[in-house]
Amino acid sequence: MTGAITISLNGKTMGVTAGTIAELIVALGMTLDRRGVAVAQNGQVVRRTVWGETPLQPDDDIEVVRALTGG
Amino acid sequence: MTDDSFALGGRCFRSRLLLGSARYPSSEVLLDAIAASGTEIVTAAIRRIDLAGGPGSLLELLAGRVTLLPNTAGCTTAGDAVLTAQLAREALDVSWIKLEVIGDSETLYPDLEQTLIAAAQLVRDGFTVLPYCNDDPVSCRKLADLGCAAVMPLGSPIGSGGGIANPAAIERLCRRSPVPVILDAGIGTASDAVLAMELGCAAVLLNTAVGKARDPVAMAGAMRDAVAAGRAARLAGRIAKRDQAEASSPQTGMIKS
Repeated sequence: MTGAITISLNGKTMGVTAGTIAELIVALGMTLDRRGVAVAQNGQVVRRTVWGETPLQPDDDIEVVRALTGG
Repeated sequence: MTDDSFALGGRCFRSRLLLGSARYPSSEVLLDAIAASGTEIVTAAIRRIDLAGGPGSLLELLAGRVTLLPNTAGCTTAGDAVLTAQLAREALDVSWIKLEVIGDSETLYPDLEQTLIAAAQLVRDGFTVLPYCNDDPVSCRKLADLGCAAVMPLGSPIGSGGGIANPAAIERLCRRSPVPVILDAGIGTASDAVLAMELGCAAVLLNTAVGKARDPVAMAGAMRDAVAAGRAARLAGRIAKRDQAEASSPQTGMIKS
């Protein structure tokens, strides 16, 4: 796969072709304006406004989260 | 009726009941329970997106109905709790957080040391921090001193329905705390919520007592009334307890046969 890099996504190691956080979100089947979703890259929150200009790097630790029912 | 609104995180609320959104039999029952409870604040958890696809978004379900209060449930370190809070702020566009750092998987008691570390960091980061904590005055004073907006002591272990195990401690906290005391965890039935409010709590946060009741919607209504009744009794001022009886009726003018 051309340009694929290996990252950890929500604790799972996988190869991705996405070059930015925004491309990763789209590859996960979500729209970029979807509310209620947040992303962290290597322990730092990446604001939605900069998803498009934030590159994915090999071995990145990416967390994609959302709100669920909770007490 | 005078205004008795409840201020938290720079906003005013009419309801003093905060409701958890977990453990309901269905989304429909959750929505009906929220409506019956009269709550304006519903708690939510922050979790990894299910890469294989999962249930619909809580946000979409509750949009416009209530304000969501995200929690850091399940976190066991200050670092995880801080990142979870920051992700919650980004996801939900709210800057308040129910800070929960668990120190023991059996009792779900708070890890006070980690809670204090996370609270300090989150206050510095501009959060309105609402920490789940012990019912001892030292813990609560430290959290208030750090700038937490309220303290949320457990009545008894999370999900236990054990009620308020130490009412004297909760009453003392309420008397001395410089910030509102929100009774969090342990409520089993309506009388527990009444007691919390009578002891001086500013509000009650509960989840399992409603979600796992035989009829969650009916219990949600009972909790709404319980919190209101307890608050009204607190404001009205209860009589002092006495060891001996004191007749209510006049002690003169009785007939003699």
